[in-house]
Amino acid sequence: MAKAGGGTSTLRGVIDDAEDVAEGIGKKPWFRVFSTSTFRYIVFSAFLFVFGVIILGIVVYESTIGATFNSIDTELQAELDRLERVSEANGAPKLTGLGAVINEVEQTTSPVSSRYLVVLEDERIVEPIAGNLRGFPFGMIGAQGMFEFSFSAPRPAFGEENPDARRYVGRTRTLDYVRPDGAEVRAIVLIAKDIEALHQLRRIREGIVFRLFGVLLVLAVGLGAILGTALVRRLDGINRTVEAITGGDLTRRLAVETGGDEFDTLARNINAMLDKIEQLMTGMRQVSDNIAHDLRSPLTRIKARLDSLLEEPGLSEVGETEEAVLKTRDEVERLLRTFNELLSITRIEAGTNTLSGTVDLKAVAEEMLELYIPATDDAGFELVANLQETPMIEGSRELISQAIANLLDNAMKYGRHPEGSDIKPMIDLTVAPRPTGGALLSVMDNGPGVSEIDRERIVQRFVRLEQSRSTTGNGLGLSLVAAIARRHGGKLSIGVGLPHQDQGRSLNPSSAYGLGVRIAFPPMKVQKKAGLPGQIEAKPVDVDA
Amino acid sequence: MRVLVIEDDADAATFMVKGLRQAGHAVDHALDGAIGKSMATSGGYDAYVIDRMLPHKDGLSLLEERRSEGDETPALFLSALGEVDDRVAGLQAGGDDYLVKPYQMQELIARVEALGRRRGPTNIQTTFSVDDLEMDILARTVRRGGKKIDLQPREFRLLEYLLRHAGQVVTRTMLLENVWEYHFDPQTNVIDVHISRLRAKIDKGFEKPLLKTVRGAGYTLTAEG
Repeated sequence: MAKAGGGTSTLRGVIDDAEDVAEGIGKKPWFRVFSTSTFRYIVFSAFLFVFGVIILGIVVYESTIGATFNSIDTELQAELDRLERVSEANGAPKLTGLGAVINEVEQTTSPVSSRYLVVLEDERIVEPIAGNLRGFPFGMIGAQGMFEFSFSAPRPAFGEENPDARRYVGRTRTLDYVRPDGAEVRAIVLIAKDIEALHQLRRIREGIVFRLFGVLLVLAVGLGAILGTALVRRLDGINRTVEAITGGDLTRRLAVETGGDEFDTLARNINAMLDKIEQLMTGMRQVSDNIAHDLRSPLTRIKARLDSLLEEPGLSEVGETEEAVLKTRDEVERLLRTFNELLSITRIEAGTNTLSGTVDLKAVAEEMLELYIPATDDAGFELVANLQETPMIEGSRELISQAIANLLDNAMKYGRHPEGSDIKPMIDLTVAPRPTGGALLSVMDNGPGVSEIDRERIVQRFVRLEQSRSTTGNGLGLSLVAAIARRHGGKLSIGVGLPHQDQGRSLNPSSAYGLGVRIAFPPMKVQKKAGLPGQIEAKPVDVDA
Repeated sequence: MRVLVIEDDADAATFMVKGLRQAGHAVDHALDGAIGKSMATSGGYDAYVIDRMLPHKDGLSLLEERRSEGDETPALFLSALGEVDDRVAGLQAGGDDYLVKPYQMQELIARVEALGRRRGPTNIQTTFSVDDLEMDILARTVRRGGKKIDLQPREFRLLEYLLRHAGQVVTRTMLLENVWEYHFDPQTNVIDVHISRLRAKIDKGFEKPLLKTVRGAGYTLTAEG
């Protein structure tokens, strides 16, 4: 008992992990929408659609605006070629050629070269010498091929339009000349075309693409969220039912709506499957129960015969006969006990009678402790109890004490280390209130423990682990506990128990714990008389209503 | 004791009758509820053993009727139904004990013998003694050979039950039901350990052991043998 305080710190975490088991589904449904497959499909297809729209935009652009730009480029090149020829015909590389070119561009009214600029580059000095462009597009220096430029509109005078705040596309050609004094001069000829209309068109196209993109994205997310929520809602219903069924309630069925959509078909199919499973399960159980039931009477008679045989005088004189009869009788007794347990599991699971009583878990645990302490002492176990006040729970004192008895029996049977170990066997019996209401019962040992894979299995009927084959038992003890837990609407979980060492952390934590069995009992349904003053305070309205 | 067994399963009845006779009781047997009722009405029995499921008249209503007619003979119900509610129904109908099938013969005999005493004057008796072991219920004292023995409350109840049934065989299940008020069968020897603790207190250091183990059945508190 002195170590009870040391044990509680390890218990805390153990109890907490049992708490959130029942939560699972139904948490943050809004957030979960984004991880549904529907949502992902819709967003994905929206992206595909946007991608298609972009491709379409590019194709349309290339075949309209792009083609126009190309023909402008061809025209500009042809014009520049013509100018170069004019320059050569007029004596280039003498400067006279340049004069002819300037003359030519000034007089041409062709719309292609509606704007022009001739720049003379004389060593480091660059100056425009002719042109009808108001500014100097710096992009023309070193430009390769066609380039676009626009003049940012200078602040116009009051009431005056600014004709040059437009967009152009231009091409340059560099012509080489030699001055009379022998110095080399380069002239850059720029001719440009007004593309303001085209540019506007291009801007509109971009706007359309971006707006389409945005609208599609919003639509996709919205649609995905709505459909996803609907899907999540329906799937949650299915999941909840299936979980309840996995939890042992085989009578539950999925809701089928009248609509007859694919979910209803699914629900109908699953229900049909469940009917089949239930049939098989009850069939199987009935067979085993019938066998147990029908074999009980002959077995009892066999046992009675053996008992009366043992009463016969003179039996002990026939050598080993008495021993053989005794052993046979013990075997029959064990068989009978197995059948009885099997049948009581079935009876508890069938839940024929109502659990109308209220149970003070702490009081029941105290009684069981009193019953078991001499036995555990004798077996060399230290039985540590940590019993706290809990709210009253609904159920049967008889069944709950039987569950505790089975758990303590199990701990004494399997919680012992093999010979030669210096670990003192310990059993911890804990009763604690749950933060969410209800009560928690746990029995933990510091024995060899059960590996994680086997923990689920040991609850099943007749399952006995390899290492416990040699001990007596029929593999029904925990099944009975599980049936009792289920009958009370509680949840049984099998996990780690007490650490093998008292202090410090072991290097091999997985094997350094015994087995722990926990039952979380649900809080009592309201309106019944409350067990704790806290409950009355929490539900003051219900008293009159 | 004269015992009336009302049981429709002939095989089971044969064993029961044989077992009870071997234990030294006079046994009559009725095969259905109606016959059983008339036999019980003729009177003269010290205890009834009644199966709950009987043809013609079920065990519960049979006993209810007898009780309403003023028959106070102690009765034990036998039944394949072993849930708490079934027990309660049996006891409400006027039953004094309830045994779930399949039972062990020794268990049945021990319970029937316990029934015979139940209605006796022991209920108002406040002092018990076996040999030199004495218990005073009111003073809550236990003495052996004049020497006071300290007992825990549960040990006191255990000894009280054994003393009330001194000379009879008391089974582990009877102890669990009457001293601890549980109706299930623990797998380990929890009762044996309590008995051996009690034995250490009342028998250790005295020449004559009083609390004896009856092999295959249970315990008995007696000065004989």
